[in-house]
Amino acid sequence: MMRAACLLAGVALIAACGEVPLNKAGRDDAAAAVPPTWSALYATHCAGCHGADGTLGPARPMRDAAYLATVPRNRLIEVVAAGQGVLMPALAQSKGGAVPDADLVRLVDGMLAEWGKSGKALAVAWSGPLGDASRGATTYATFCQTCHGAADGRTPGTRGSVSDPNYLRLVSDQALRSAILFGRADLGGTCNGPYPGQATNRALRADEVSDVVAFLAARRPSIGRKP
Amino acid sequence: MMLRWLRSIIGWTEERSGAVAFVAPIMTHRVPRDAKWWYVFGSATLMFFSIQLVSGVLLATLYAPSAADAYQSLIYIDNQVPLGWMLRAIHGWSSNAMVLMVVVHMSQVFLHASFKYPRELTWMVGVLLLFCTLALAFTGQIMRWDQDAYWGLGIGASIVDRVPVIGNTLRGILLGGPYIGGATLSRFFALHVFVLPGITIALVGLHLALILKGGISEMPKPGMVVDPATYRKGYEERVHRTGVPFWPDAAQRDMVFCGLALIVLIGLAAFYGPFGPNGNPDPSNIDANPRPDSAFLWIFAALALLPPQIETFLLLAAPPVIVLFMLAIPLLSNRGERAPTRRPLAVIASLAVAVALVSLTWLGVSSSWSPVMTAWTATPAPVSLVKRLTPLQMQGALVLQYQQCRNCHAIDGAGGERGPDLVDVGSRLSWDQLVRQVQQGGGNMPAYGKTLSSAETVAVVAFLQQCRVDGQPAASIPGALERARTSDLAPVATPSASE
Amino acid sequence: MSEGCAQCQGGCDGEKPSRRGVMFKIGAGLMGVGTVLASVPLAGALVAPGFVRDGDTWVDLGATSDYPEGETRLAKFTLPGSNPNDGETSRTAAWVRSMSGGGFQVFAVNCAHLGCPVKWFQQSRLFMCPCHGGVYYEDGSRASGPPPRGLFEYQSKVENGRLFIAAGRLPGLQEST
Ligand code: HEC
Ligand code: HEC
Repeated sequence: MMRAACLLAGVALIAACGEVPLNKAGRDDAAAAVPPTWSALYATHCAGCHGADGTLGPARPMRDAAYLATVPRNRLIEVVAAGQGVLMPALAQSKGGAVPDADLVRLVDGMLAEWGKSGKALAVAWSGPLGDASRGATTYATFCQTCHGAADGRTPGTRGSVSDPNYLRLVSDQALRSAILFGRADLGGTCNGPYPGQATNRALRADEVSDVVAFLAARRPSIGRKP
Repeated sequence: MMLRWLRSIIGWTEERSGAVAFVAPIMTHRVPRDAKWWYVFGSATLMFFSIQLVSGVLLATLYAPSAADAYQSLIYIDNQVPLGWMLRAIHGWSSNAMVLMVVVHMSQVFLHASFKYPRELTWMVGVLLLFCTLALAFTGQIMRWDQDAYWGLGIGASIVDRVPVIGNTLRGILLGGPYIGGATLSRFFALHVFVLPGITIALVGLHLALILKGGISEMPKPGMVVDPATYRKGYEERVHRTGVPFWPDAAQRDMVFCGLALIVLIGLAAFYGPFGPNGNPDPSNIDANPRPDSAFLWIFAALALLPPQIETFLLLAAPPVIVLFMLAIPLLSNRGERAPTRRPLAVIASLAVAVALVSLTWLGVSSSWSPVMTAWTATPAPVSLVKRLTPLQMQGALVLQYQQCRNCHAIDGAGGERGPDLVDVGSRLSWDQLVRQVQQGGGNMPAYGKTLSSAETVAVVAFLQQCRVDGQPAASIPGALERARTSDLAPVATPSASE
Repeated sequence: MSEGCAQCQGGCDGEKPSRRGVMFKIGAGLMGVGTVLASVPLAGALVAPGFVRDGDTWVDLGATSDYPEGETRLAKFTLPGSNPNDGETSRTAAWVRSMSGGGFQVFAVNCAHLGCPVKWFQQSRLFMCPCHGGVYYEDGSRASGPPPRGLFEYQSKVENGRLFIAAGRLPGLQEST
């Protein structure tokens, strides 16, 4: 009896002398001092739109090596800080968002290092001026119509319309260009060639990309966003 | 030799103090034989209170009771002081244990109707002790001086502020000034370490004295009625005939229970460590998500659920009514049956209170009425859903994120819970109903009419309309002209509503 | 008086009962006066903070150009009237809405329901409260949830291109507009 009590007291003393409770999860304050990792930042600030693991979200995937290799780092930081188009929010604290500016840089660098590792930059530039809309109409009919339907809405495509005016009012030209160049592989969407065994068995040229974007942009109604 | 020494010392003191003569009859006073395990909770409460006194004094030797230093001093106690974290852990866990034991003890006393004649006063003092315990727990949470403490005080101040006419003055008295600051912590420190423990110690003494005077009650038996005219005589006879001395016959059970409870407590404290502190008490940090300690979660939940029209009235009227009612219970019924089987109303009432407290606490833990502030950037729509969307619907899914709808709306269980889950909204509301709900709000949803462009509205409604569980048809109003329903199902989206 | 006599059986030093009665009354009176004298300052010290009615003081929230037009930003400041003893709690914040077309509205961060800190969402142009789900529109008016009214608004003014608000206390139902 006596011995058991001594043993217990010994165990209690040893346990109690430890620096922290046996269950360290109970200590929030210690954890709070460590800055969040890039993946934690992604999970809280991006996953909702760009997908839980960087793919299969409603907005274009970020886990896309070719995309990350082509778009310059500074541009990525700029988009994340200040937003883009209608539905990509400005997230930097300096722009009224919730994320400290330094965290955003760390986040982008994390994405580039983890998801952009083996990526090869595309030959076609990630951005460029609008091309010629009427030439774009032809290119659209050749390259896009089978999947996205005729731009006049008469023939339905298999993957849904991208020429719907309401759709176009919500996406920026840059987003259109990115969609054409990098597609949405996560959704089975390669909007760029080559499609083997078809007339379109080649990738789009730079001027064709700009033309299609111009064609779609021209179909966007010129009503601004309501204040 | 030793023994003789000891005996002579005891004899010497006893002759002058009469301590043994005073204590011995108390220790050996006769208690009913059937006073078994039901009666250990009061002792356990007392034990946890003693732990609070000891650990509290020790904490007071380390804690810096000033608003500028309190938070840092807790971090210091946790990380630098040898065993400091354990001290805080014991104090915190024992505080919860004390609240729990008070409630259990009180429920037992109520269910066995031990508050009836001649023990009415014992009950009343007990009620006061319950509120002292809760007050100690609340002021203790303030001592942590973290975000939860600051905003918890803010909630308290807002409630006091609602008192008509003098509310603002009362608030100033409570906070020690026009804002929550150094004076506030000092006030609550004085309450927590001087005023409340002092009152509690005095009341515990009174409670024990009353117990000795009234005697421990017997286990209730159906048919054994309490009649003030004859009760005392009968009780004394029975206890004399069949009772046992408190020490050691009844005390041994208390010792077994309290010993076990103490070991469990130390185990919990060692394993889980102290509570908080959770974030600096910096009121300019608006990312705080204040939550009270577990003993008060049910109040936190009730505050979300009270109907706004009568909220102020209930907030101010309920506490005094509850206290007065609890005090008055033995006056309302101090005679008659004690057995729970003969007091169905009392049993039902206690069950109702227990169910209410447990479910409110559970609601408080999940706090489904609170928006999830990061859901819009953190919680994506289900992948299975994303895979079947047209480009326009995809933009609608983005609008749902961008406009923070997800902070209040889950899709298939993920997201805020303030509004309904949207996973099947397309089979509940038609296109037109969806447009109206989004633009005009209602049912506790803000109106988005001024914020959304027509394109955003079309996109989000196109998305919502296809939110249907497999095979269910889109909702429609029978006979009504349906606008462009099919166009949103087919891959080709045409504008369904134009400018 | 007869009780008084009974008490001093055997040990009375011959004082007359009437003298004792007077002494008792004087004693009671003195104690009474003393108690009042003592309790007025003591109780006064306890309740005095409730009667502080200092006016709010103007606080400088920075240049108006720090607040982009059409947006709502968080302004942090030190509460006037606070002292070093308050530590971090002397820091406070307010939501500054720079209205398109000019003019400012400055809201307390404290929810009008029970004072929790509301958060601004630029996209939906809503304030949301983390405690019980109160929601407000960008002009501070109540949108949904339990709050009995809109957000508390500080008195504000612009002088020499700088924005000032009148602050100094915890906003509450009974003092703000
Ligand atoms: C509310 C939803 C939302 C959140 C949250 C969000 N994004 Fe976006 N993002 C979008 C949308 C929508 C677009 C396309 C905007 C456009 O150009 O029309 C986009 C575009 C982008 C682009 C440019 C893509 C292109 O087409 O060139 C980048 C890079 C990007 N987001 C990164 C991020 C990162 C990193 C985060 C997290 C910090 C993030 N986004 C959070 C919705 C979101
Ligand atoms: C082989 C079929 C196919 C072809 C050809 C194709 N796309 Fe796509 N595209 C897709 C798929 C699949 C998606 C994913 C869309 C979805 O599920 O919502 C997509 C997505 C898009 C999107 C983004 C939609 C969004 O979510 O915002 C745009 C823009 C787009 N395509 C434009 C084009 C253009 C322009 C062309 C012609 C140069 C083209 N696509 C050719 C299959 C195709």
